[in-house]
Amino acid sequence: MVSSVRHQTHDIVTIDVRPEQHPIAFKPGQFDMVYVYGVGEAAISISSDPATPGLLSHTIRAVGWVTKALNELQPGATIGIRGPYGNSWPLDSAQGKDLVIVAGGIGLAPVRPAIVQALRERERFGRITLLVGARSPRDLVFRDDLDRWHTDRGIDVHITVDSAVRGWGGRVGVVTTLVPRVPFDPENAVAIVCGPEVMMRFTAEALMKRGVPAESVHVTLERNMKCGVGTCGHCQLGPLLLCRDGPVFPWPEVAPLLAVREL
Amino acid sequence: MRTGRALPGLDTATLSVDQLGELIDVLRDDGYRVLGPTVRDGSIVHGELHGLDGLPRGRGDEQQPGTYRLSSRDDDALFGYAVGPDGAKRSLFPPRQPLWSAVSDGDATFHLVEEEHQSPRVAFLGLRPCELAAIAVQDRVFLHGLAEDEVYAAHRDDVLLIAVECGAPSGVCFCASMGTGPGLELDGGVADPEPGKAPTGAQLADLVLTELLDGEHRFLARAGSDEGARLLAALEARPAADGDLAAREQVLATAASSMGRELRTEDLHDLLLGNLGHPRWDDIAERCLACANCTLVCPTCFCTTVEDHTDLTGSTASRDRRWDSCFSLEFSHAGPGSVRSSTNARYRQWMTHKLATWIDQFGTSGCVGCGRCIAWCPVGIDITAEAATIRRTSQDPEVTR
Amino acid sequence: MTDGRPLAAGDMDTLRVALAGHPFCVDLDAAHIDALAEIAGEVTFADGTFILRHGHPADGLHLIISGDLALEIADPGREPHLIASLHGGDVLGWSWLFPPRRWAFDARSIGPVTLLKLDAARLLELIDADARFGRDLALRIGLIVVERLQATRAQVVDIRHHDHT
Repeated sequence: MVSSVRHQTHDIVTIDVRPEQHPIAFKPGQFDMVYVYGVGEAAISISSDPATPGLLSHTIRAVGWVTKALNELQPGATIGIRGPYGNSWPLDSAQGKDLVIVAGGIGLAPVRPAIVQALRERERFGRITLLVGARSPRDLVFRDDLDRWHTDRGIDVHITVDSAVRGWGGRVGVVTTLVPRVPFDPENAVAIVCGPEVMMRFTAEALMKRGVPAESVHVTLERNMKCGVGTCGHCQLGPLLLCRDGPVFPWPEVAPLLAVREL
Repeated sequence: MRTGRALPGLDTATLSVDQLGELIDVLRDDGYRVLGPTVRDGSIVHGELHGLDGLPRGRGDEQQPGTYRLSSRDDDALFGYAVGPDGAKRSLFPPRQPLWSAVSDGDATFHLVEEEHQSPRVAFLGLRPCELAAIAVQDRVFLHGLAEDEVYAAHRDDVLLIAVECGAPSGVCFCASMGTGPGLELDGGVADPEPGKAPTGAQLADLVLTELLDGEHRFLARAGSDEGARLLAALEARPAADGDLAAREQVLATAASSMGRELRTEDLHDLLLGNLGHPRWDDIAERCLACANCTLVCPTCFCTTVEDHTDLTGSTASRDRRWDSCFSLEFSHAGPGSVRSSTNARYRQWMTHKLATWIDQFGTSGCVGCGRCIAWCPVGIDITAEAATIRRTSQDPEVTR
Repeated sequence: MTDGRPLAAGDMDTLRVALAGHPFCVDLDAAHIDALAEIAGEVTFADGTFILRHGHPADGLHLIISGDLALEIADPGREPHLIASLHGGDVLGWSWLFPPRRWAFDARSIGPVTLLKLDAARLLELIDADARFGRDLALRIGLIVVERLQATRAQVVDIRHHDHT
């Protein structure tokens, strides 16, 4: 059941749901197939705290029939949830290392569960750094969390926007410009990157240029999804079925595939 | 669909033509719907068989790129053709399949109603080795993947598979190249096929028939399962003579040497994935209409989409699963547009998936060498010729991975 | 340039240390750092002041020591666009290298800014006099321009995202 609908920006909304049958335990990075009665389904990342599976949040941008319908839901409505599907962010591999999280736009949503979990288990990690890029100040999501994390000593938060006018006192420039300048130990770091594919490519390159080993950079990929369980063929990227083999991948596995046009 | 093992009693027999007719009767008496080849609309398609009369007696087929025609043979062979455009896939994996429905409870709430998926009792008579191989390929996708597809499993549950080995391959056949035919050897274990080849359907067969036309018109019959052995016993079939076994060898040898086409599978995976930028894809794109015929007739293509409907009052919503094709523009729609918008990219996706990345995803080739895509392509694009051209003019010996 | 107050223009040691510590001068040998220190001066700016103005003579290479500033483009009827922001460790201004040697953008401080300004005319003399040093400087500036351009191109693509028109 939909418990609340929070409009984050002019076109991004977070839908909080209480599963009716039982809580749906998930790991950071996984997604659900969300069904709107009579309209259809969409694959949506879970953006809530994994420690509270009784209340799931799904953050979406309204671009198609289903997501537009989701955008118009009211609290009390029923939606269908299948999942969780996919693999998860490799937080275990970052144990004892610096954790660098780079989020572009709505990409902050799929990494939010990882941030929340990492902060809860703070002592497992070295320095935790969050780099957030958005198109403009208006397009920043989870602003309450960003404000809170700014004052949290356990995490360094850096925000930049692509486009702003005078009056914005923060950074201007694409998020990759933050990578060379924020403090962390690249050789002993694990990076999780989420955002538009172009942004993830440039960010992975910037991280590797700084000395982060390629296999320590992880991205999350998105294609057309229908079944979520590897039988409909839609989410193929070369040899990979994103729903089954991903959506989180270490960079070396996907870099050559993303370099082929229209693959 | 049980694997063959050493069976007590009858496992190799010879059937007369009349006994074949009795087989159909026995199956129907057991409650099976018997589906097999019949002539309709100028081609050989699966239809319900009530007796021998439905079979394409004395008919053969001529297939070439973009061409399919029925011909008349100068004998009474019942299975004297290669393969028609459809096969078991249409029954085991229907083009439109209801999944579930939802009923509105008012106030923007609803509950789900699960669909009951029944197991229809079907006996397929006359499946070619390539068709059995295709079932083996689809079993890997639907039964042995991340999740078992319960709809497919229900359809597979109560079926009998009776194969007829190939005596007359067509001009587009290349099952020998893919390791799937023209015969079915039942003594093999359930092993993975050689690299680059498709799995044999041998372990799926309940009964394997070979039509013998030298001298008396008869069928060699070998049981691949308990069910198959039981059927042979019920027919009171006579044990096979050595001459019948030898005749089978002859039929298969002739068939293997008269394959219409060939596909070299060694290193094919790396070859194709190392040539994703090859100009040949542009050449194909100029001919390809993206009509999706190949995906419709291919016995292994499995891509589907879902359709959601409501009735007029909105009180019930339902969801169907429908065959889809990677050739459609919407197939790869993600973000603001389709990832594969050019015909080049879409044909490349189909061919490299079928022959290369299928191996990464499911462990075997996706192609069983039936040649349907070649015959039923309106412009006659030949997957074996395209692979050979790319092999001959390979631009990058290194793999892109 | 308004409101900039040069400090300690003659304190060579301070300048040498500041230069050596700036990423632009990494791996520059001591003699070259000395040469730059001779033509450098530390300048501070208060919040909201123009460090560069579009069209004005491009009179220096600026190495930012601390603070934040943004490149701006004015646009009638709108607040000025912020194109990119620069911070401690960055380099500002290379239009002095090519005619007409005038600034292409405004640069305005966001908070107090401290930078080292290397006099453009004397820098050009240094480049003429010492070809190897000149080549080294030109390549360092060239690399910054390349990185800035690549980042700007990524920025353009990022802005275009979600424009479904």
